[in-house]
Amino acid sequence: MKRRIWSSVGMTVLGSALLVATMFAGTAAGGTAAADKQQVQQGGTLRIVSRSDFDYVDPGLSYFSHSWNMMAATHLQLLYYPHVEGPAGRRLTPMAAQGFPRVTNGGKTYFFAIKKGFKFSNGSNVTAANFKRSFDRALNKSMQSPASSFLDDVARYRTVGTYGFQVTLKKVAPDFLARMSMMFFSAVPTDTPFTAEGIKAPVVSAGPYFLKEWNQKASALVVRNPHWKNNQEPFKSLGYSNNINEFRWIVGPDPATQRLMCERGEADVCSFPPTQAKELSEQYGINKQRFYVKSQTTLWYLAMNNSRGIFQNNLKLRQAVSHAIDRRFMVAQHGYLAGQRTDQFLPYSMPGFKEFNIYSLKGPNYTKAKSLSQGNTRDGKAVMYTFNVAQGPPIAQSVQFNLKQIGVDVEIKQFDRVVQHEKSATRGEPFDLTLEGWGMDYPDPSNFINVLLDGRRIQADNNVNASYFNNAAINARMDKANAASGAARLTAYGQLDRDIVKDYAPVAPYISTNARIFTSNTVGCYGYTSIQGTLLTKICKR
Amino acid sequence: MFQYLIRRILWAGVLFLAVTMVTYVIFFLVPANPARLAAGQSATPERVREVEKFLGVDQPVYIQYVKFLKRLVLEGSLGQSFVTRQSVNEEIFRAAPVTASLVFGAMILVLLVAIPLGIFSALRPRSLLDRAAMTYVLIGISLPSFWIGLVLAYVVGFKLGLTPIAGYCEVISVPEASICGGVVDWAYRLVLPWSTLAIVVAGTYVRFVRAEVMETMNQDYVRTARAKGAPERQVMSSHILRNAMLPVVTMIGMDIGLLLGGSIFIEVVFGLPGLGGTALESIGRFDLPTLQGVVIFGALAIIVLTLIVDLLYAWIDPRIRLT
Repeated sequence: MKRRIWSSVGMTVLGSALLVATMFAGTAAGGTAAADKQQVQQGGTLRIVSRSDFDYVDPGLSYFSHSWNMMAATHLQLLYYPHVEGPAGRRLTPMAAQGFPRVTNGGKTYFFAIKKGFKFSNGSNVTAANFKRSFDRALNKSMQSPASSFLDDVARYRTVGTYGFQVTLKKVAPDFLARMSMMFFSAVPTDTPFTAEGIKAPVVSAGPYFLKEWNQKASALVVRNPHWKNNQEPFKSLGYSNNINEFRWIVGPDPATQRLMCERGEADVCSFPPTQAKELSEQYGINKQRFYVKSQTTLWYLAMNNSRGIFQNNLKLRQAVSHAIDRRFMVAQHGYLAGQRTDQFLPYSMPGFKEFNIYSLKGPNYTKAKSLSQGNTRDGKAVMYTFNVAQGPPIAQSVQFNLKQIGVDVEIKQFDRVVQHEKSATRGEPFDLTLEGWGMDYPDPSNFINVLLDGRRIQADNNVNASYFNNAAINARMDKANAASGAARLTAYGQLDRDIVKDYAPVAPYISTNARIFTSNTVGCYGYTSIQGTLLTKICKR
Repeated sequence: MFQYLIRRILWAGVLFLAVTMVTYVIFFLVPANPARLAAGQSATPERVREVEKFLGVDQPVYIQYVKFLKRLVLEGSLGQSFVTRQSVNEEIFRAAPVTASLVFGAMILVLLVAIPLGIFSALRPRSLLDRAAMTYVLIGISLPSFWIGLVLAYVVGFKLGLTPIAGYCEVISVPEASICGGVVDWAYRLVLPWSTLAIVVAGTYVRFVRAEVMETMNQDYVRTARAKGAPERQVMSSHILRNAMLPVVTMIGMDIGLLLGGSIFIEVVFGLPGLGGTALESIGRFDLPTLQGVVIFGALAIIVLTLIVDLLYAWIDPRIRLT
């Protein structure tokens, strides 16, 4: 999932690199009058402009967030997060499944009954075999699919009759259902090949739309699935609006050009340089028309290396760091409205998040930090890894200044993002602090807490636990929380979030990010959830 | 002539080997493993090893390089992208026409502007025209291409609405997903990218043509031609321009070769799916085969165009022999 974060870093870099020019373009663009509210239209074409292309259009291989955003409108999953804003959009809901699966065998066997009536864009019926095929493809060696790691705990699976699908796990895993909402496990035709290159357009799919054409690095066309009937069951109960007739992707332009395209009506959904967010918010307001700021489930944090150096077995110094850093400054480096300050490990929109006030969000609390660091700074030297573009260098300098105040001299080492990650992911690498980010794979708190902080997962390299935090008591609590389900699960993770950050402080979170989107004045309604991103099935034109 | 060609082709082979080898070495000096990127975060070491094998990066660099050369020479294949797993040949064939459209169109504009302007500036040094031309040269050379591109997109495309702001249209076999197509749309969409590249490149050419013409005008053979009563038109065309243009031809050949390797900023600003954007993306994603493909294409373009320029030299000036 870091790929998504790298992608966002890249966008930020481009925006920053073109700062001078974009400021020129940005300030002079104020002449456009705000559009009046008009009637919402059914139909029309929505043009989405994107800097980067889809990685694959094959649900078995695709792992980029904007590819999944398209697939959320084209594919049918067993379970999904409804395309509505607010709490309902964060509630896992049956999609192709008749209801939640019947769980037996002590929580290890799941039986999904598939609804009848769904059809692929080629007219064939959706059956259990189509979901089985997605599992087959994920686990097939010749596919080399990233999905395979999300089925590590699957012991066996099979179809039961035409419309039954049964999965047996090796051990109890309450996050299994959330995983089933991932695009990897969408229904695919049973003759979909096992191919490492992935399937090409047209992609036969069973969602409300299907991908008709994809011209790599240039354009894509998504049109209605002729067999999807909004006003009939089983489609009706899913509550999709499906206002737009077709979606066209224009791939390539940089953010500054994208903004001009949306201003002039050459495109409908655009990005823009981070430096223009303030101006856009003043011009169009926030979440009123054209300029939208929506909460994401992505977190950036300062990871402290718990396996070596000054932070190993040094809780007080780790807590001191979390008190000393200037979150206000750090968040500002991400850009205007780029996110909310936080001191917690779960992002604000993650199910299970509960707000606690543990560290100062307003600025450094040196008094508290010094009282904790006093006598605990050891040799007083720390090495910080960061990436060498966008917010990386200024945030590292800010941390360097803040920690100097509590008696720690930070040496900053800058790398390309890929290299920085490779280094900090290698056990034994000589660093004390590293700047990291994480975006969810699926909306379950375990995807943050267990994945990033379970010390038993630490390996020789390719670690995502950049703080190398490994605490037996916390590991046990993670297991317990992960075994729970429903409200108890969310409560357990909320409490775990608080206790880890407060009592162990392996990391110092500072921002829970926002998505910022700009639209043309012909876009009438706009929907977004932290899980799906822009809701293509909800959006409409005036 | 034949011997010369053989020698040049052999030399091109050596150059090609050097370029591909350097790209390989630089790539593997960066301490990052493409298999780890492809395997996904938190993949187990076993899974990473599997992906290394799948991508072919599990062997020593020299073996990978030999395999790459063997595949290229015997099968004409540049391999598959580490990231998209698509054929790199296809990626290059898809992107190269876009970059070629940009470069050749812009070079025509460059020559249309630079040659007359350079000549007139040389003929009337320190005149108003000369000073204006030199001011333009200064601007063209000093301003970065992405800034000029964005300003043109804003003023001409957005404010005046005279051209589209960004995008590319296919001339033939227009995809349904494309928002435009055909020769007129193709040219219309490229007006701004052509102009941007032309503004940047033409500055150098104006100055170069001016300097060459001024220098040639002071040559003895020009003075002699004038003393012998040759008409000024003939002096200009046969004695001054013919000689002054020789270095310009070399420069055009080299520049087209370089630009075919990718005009990154202009392609990014205007959203052109060309080689520059492809190279930029492959660097960011640590995609060696794709990057190698663009490098090879760029190197071949320079080698071929330099050869063409050398052959043209002999044709333009018979005194030059290809030995």
